Amino acid sequence: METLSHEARARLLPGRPEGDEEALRRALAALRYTPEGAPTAHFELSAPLGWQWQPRAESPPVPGLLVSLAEPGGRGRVLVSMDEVPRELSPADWALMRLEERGHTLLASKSEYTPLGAVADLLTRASPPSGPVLARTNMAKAGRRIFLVTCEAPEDEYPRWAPLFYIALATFRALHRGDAALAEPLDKYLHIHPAVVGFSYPASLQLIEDIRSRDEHALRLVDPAAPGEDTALHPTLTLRSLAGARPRRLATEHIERARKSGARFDDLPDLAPLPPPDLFEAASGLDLTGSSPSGDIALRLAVFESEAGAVLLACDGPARARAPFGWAVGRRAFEIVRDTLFLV
Amino acid sequence: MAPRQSYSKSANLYEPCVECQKKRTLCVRVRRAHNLGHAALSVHEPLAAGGEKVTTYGFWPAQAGKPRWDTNVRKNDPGDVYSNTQDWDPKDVQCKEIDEKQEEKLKAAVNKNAQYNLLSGDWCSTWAAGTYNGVTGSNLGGFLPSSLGNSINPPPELGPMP
Repeated sequence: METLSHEARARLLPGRPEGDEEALRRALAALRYTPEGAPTAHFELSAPLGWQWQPRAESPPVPGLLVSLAEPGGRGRVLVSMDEVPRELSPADWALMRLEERGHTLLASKSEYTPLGAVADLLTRASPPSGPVLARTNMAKAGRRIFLVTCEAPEDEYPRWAPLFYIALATFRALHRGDAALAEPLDKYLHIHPAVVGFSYPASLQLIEDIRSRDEHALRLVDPAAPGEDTALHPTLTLRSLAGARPRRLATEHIERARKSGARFDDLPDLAPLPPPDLFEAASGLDLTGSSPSGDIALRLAVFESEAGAVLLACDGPARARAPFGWAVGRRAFEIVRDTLFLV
Repeated sequence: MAPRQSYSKSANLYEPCVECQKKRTLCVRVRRAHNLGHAALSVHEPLAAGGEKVTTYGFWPAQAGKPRWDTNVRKNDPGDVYSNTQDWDPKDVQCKEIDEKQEEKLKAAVNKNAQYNLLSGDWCSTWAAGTYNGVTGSNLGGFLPSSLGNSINPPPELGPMP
């Protein structure tokens, strides 16, 4: 990712406008839009007077585009797209995937983790034949629906439009409140030996218990592949608790098992401390990338400690560059299990 | 009239396990292919007006007509009569006695899971708007002044709809 100076960030990603609020108020109009055939995907945002809805046709096509809005000269545009995602994902991961499909690369981002997944403020650049374009993208999530609001302009003109783009982003609001917060329901799991272990997980994952004994408990959450699909492009989560186990041992044994299955990791950093989730006293983890006979892989691993013992949570799956969707599904499932996990 | 039974913290606080008959016992029905395991821990509290309040902390499988995240299932709900439930097999039950400290942690864990599943907001708005609709009320960025919120002007659409 290109490094932007502080000044460039302030110019390209401005915040709340300063100055005469009343004048700004008079120059803006609140717009509502109801997509044809999707009445519950309606939304509103505010834009300067004179901006016009544009025909949906875009060249090249924008995936999931609902509508675009442009200033009269057509140089500055706001694109609103919406997708129904088949799995629970972070809006930020989905947004970046969609932007990359359109040839955008990330210049700057600011993100925050929420119970609905990570949300982000993204600045990206694309270089179509007509000349380089800068874009600022925000996102909203309503159950399976993820809205992307992308404000873009030719790179040399972008700073001029940036304050107005902020207003469009800040006033965007999906008008339909769905029945659920997440893209898919959660299932729950509880086991009592060697300690009481429980968590929630996306219902689309298949839970397979590997070991149940008085001293050890291990299970996998598998993202099932459709018939004919490459299983290596899907993530697998592992959860393992062992009576009296030390965190390092759980981590080392997991990495060794991955190696025996053909994984190769270039660099093996030590476990780094993590903020412990509620109900745990300590946590540590690491993120690894490597290769396997089937392609590049990613491993995210964390160990959580409480009075009752330690529990390992790991996600093995494809590297992001190889399978962004599978990578994002695994990452979000990891977050949900981590957020709901307890060991008593 | 028979005297009302008195309750104390150390006696009669928990309903005995349906299988092992022990009190303050966490009982888990093991996972079956068609039905994930669940636990139930019921706490009986006397009410000032008489009678008792029974609260069951539990992880139950989804039930028809109920959302999957319904964790506040009473043990004696209609349909939960174990002897009448074909999925129920006493051989599947595992029981484990827990102490008061563990019980407190378990209550906190159940509460944490329930909150996660019942997020108060059902969508998150954009970063720039600075909110994701009440999930935590966290401010992600700079809000527009309230006077410039989502009702700046009456909302007639500008220009024709495509």
